[in-house]
Amino acid sequence: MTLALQFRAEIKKQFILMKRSTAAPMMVLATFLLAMVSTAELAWNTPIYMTIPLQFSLATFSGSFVSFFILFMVYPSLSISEEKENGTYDVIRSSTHDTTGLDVARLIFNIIFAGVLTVTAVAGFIFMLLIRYGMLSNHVEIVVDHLIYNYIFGYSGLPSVFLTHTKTYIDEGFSLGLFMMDIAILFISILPPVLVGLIFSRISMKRSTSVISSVIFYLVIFNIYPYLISVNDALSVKYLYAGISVLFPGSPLSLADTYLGFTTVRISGGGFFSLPNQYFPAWILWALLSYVIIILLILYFMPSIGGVMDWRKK
Amino acid sequence: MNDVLLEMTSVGKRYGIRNTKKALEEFSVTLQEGMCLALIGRNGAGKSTALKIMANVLKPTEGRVVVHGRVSYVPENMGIYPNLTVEENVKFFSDISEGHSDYESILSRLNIMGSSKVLASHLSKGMRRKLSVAVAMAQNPDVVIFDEPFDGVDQTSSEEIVAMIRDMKKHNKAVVLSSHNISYIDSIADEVIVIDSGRIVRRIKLPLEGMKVVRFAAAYEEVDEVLKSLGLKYDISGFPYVRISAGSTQEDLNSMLVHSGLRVLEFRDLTIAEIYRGVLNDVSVTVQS
Repeated sequence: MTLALQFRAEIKKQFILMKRSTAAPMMVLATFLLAMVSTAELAWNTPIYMTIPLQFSLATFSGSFVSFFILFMVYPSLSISEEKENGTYDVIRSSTHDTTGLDVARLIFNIIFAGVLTVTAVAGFIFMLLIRYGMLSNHVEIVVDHLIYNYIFGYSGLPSVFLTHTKTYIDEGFSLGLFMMDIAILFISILPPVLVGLIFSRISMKRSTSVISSVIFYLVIFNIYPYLISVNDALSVKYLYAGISVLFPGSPLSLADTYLGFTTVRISGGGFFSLPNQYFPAWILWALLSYVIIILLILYFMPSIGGVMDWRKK
Repeated sequence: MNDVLLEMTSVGKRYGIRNTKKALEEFSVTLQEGMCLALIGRNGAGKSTALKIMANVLKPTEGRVVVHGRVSYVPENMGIYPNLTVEENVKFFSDISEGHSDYESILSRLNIMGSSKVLASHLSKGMRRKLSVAVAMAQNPDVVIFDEPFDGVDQTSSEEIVAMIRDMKKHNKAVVLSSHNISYIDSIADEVIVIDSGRIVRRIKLPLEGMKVVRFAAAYEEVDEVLKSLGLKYDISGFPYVRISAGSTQEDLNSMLVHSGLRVLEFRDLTIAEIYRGVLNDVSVTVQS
């Protein structure tokens, strides 16, 4: 009975807080923008790899990096860390010996919210792809890749020392079932990062620590493993990485695609714009704007570092 | 005899990788129904650590804590959700602990019913503090633990909190609080524990009996001589205030002093604040020596 009451109370509280906070709509907006930015880079480079302005590469890097990190880890981290800061975490622990109902409710809420963000991200991909390929192609298959190494080690399409390079497929057949399957894969892949985010927020006392832990985790998972593969070329590490790639989408999905045959988003071209390329320079500005929004977003959630929240109250 | 609700025996808490930093040592306390225990001490003395251990927020590294009944804890930073309204805050904590369903009466008693639809972040600090008390009450606890309940609160709100604590005592709930504001402790606490450097340095039972503070309109030597001749136990180090141990009743001591020929300007009980200052001085002297 208590567990059911706890569950109901926690779910209700989380939805009320989401509705009232500026965090949730900002997360959705940022995810949409960053998904577009991430896709824009691929669209820009495909089918012919071209020289990209430095600013744009920086922005797309931030998009690739931060969108998934926000998408899967930061929001659940923030919610518990915030409770630690305002003391409610201690109040709950002192008054209830068994917090199973609360924990389950929190996990489910975060999965629901991450699901909303996933759909938002997919919408961002679709929107960008429609603009880019609207009149050029009726069918598009696209694989998200780890962009930063392409910029550092060249994006010629040849494998770098990190064995990652942009992969895109155009004119693949589109089917609704395949498309839904891709979204489902993305959604299922939310679970581990949400859990990791919750674990980080349990361990850390402050939001800033929680966010920093998530970044470090991201860097380790997404960069150490590719490095190990490239240096050691160990088959077991490759399979492990492929497994992780499936669970944590984003940067290593090209490897997952290679080993397991998964891809991320396939979308049929629509034709919103008759001359898609003329709009592309505008998206560079969007990319930079997204970068600024993300920085502000992070500062907003870490008043202890940025002081933006205090400044806003004054 | 009242039932024991909380018992801490030789509790200690150490921090650090090798548990080298002592935050609390040999802390023992027994809390009975209807009792109010106050912890006082300097910043960093170990008050909050002791309260957190009582509230099951921290685990002790040594000793034993036994709690009979439900505990609710009000941390120094209040422990409320700023983006929930007053009513939503109280209802949430009531729901998760299967507490009071009649939270409206709690809000009324604390005079915050009128703000029940207001976000906690929009309340004044005093109102937020009262809300945190309401949240604690809504959980229908047997033991309520307050960390600095009067911090940043105006006099009127403080008096309302004091009234609430008295009410809790009447309903056989046990209250533990820490406070820098000693002025309210005299009127609500049954026992005061002075903590310094993680150790209990003095236990004081209230009300204080037997110790009076007297101010004389006379010279130091004259007062000293007369008090000596009366055979009283006294401490004249704080002259013109003299602490006199009243073996007899207050009236007897008063008439004794009047008949001695000394002119008495002030005659009152010793306060917790005066004892506390004395304890801190003793501690400082010990540390220096």
